[in-house]
Amino acid sequence: MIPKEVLEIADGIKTMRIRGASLIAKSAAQALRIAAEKYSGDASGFKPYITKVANLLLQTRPTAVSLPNAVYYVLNRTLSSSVSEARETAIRSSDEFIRMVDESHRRIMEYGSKLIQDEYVVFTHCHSTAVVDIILQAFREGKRVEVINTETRPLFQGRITLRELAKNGVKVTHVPDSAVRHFIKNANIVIVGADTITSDGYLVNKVGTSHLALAAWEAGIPFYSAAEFIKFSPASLEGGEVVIEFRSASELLDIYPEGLADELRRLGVEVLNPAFDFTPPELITAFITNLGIIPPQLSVLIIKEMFGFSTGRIQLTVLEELV
Amino acid sequence: MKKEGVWFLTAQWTGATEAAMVFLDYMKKSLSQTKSMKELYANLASLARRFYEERPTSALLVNTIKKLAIRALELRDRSFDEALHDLLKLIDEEVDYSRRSVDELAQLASRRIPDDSVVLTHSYSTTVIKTLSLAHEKGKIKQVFVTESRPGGEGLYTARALSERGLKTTLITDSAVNYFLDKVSLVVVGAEAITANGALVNKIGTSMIALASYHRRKRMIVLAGTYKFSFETVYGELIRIPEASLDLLGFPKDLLYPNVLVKAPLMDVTRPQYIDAIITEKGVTSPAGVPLIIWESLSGREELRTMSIHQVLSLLEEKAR
Repeated sequence: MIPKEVLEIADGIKTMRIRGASLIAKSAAQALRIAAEKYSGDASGFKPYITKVANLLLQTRPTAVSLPNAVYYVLNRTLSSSVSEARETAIRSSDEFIRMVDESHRRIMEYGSKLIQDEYVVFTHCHSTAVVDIILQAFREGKRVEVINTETRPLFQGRITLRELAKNGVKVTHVPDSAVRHFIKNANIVIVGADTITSDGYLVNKVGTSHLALAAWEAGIPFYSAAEFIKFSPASLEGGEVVIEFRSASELLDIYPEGLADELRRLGVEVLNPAFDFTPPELITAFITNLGIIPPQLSVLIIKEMFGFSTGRIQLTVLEELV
Repeated sequence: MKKEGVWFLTAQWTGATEAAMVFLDYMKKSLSQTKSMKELYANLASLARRFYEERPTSALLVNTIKKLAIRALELRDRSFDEALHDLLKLIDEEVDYSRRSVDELAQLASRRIPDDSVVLTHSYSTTVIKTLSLAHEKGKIKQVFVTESRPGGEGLYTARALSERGLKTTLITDSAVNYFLDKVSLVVVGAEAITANGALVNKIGTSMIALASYHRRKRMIVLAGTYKFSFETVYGELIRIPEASLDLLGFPKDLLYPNVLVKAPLMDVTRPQYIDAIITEKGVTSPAGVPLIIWESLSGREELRTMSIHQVLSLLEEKAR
């Protein structure tokens, strides 16, 4: 019997009521903790029970990298402990994981803000809580930091970033995505977030990130991505492919006159709307992680340190069964 | 101009060629209503000024204005009837010449498109649409990717035009260019202006596409008749770039904090190094060959070369006073 609270969390992740990599990861760990606490059967039944809960959670959003990272962090430790200690281990490692996520956010803020010098102009894309917090931290330290940010079509997440920075007093210049190369020369540093990072150092992030990286590279401006350890993909170590989500045409067409959009549909114009793109390691100066500032080629170190090499194979096998 | 002007004022959905046609059309109507030389100069001056202010980047518009104005100034000692007749004839010739040039250019350019091409294009260009249609008739085009082209969204009109002509068309956001470049074999764009050093001034986003395609070793060709060459830049004139309004961007008013600046230039500049070829109605050239063509097409027209648009406009305005 899976507790009601656990089912509610699973539903929240599935319906995207719970969103953002950190929150998904922490909620999943929390769900495993609740499941362990409320377990009333005998000790021998605990491991199969917690595996069932883990599978239920994994199925909610198979493409979100932070979710399996959370689930396997707890599950691996639980399954490798003795039968009598399994329940205790599940509870303890869930708590430990949640603490680590919070801790990693704090450290990224600290390390990232050091990269921003007085009178720096930071260029960013889309919306990342880590990036906003890094900039606000530098701003609070008294650095006169300014920001250039993109609209981020099709869903305009750049407007969320704009609001969060502007209401706290940071000066922001807001530009269309097409103007990235035009304005990059006015920036001193680029900092973006991360959706997924592969073991070979590719950054998967909001579509358009690779443009910003390329323009920064051409202009000789450093390009950083702020990434908690939960963004690194152990499955990619085993050759697991990062699947790019294609979203609906209406996200692109909805801001235009209805007649025009209808006409395009009638004519059979195809609309392709990928949510993310790949930025290759050679365009990335470094990742800002909880373990410090690391070059993209060392992504594999984070995977080893935080999850262990074997996690990749286990994750991949289970994911392939699920997807 | 205001009513239809929305698209013109904001450079939305018209290519530079169409904009120049609109200008000539307005000019013909406006001049036809004049009754004296003074009035003729006044109408010419005010309309030229308004169009130039709206689209200072367009070399075609600047060149057309200069041609008309210089002729009008040359005609100052003629009778009003004679001058009017001469200018209206010049306008008709210009319209004719532009149409013919675009056709010739498209014919020539369509030859340069290889078989099985997957083309990426940006914004809206009459010449690009015509060229791709011709290449499609020869069975050379597999697919065309068209960017949305924010701000303005002219890409949607390009997608419509290409799709109506039977081309397989795919619309993507400006940010997704690099994602799809793998599948693209050739980038084809139009031009707002070509400067003296062979750089391309075109709808914002063009330079990012050029950089990405250069990086991925995809060829980029620019379709620009010699009438798109900016003679002024030979003498160091800078091209002023207008910006899109908050309305065009659909920017929410509640985000206008005092410390927020919204910047949306309508054009950007692409380095000549990223351009593989410029196709004119006279033939294919490299960006380095641009000055040669500029000198060639201006031989014997000293005043067109040496007078800037600003000088021309103020001379006209003086005459109108």
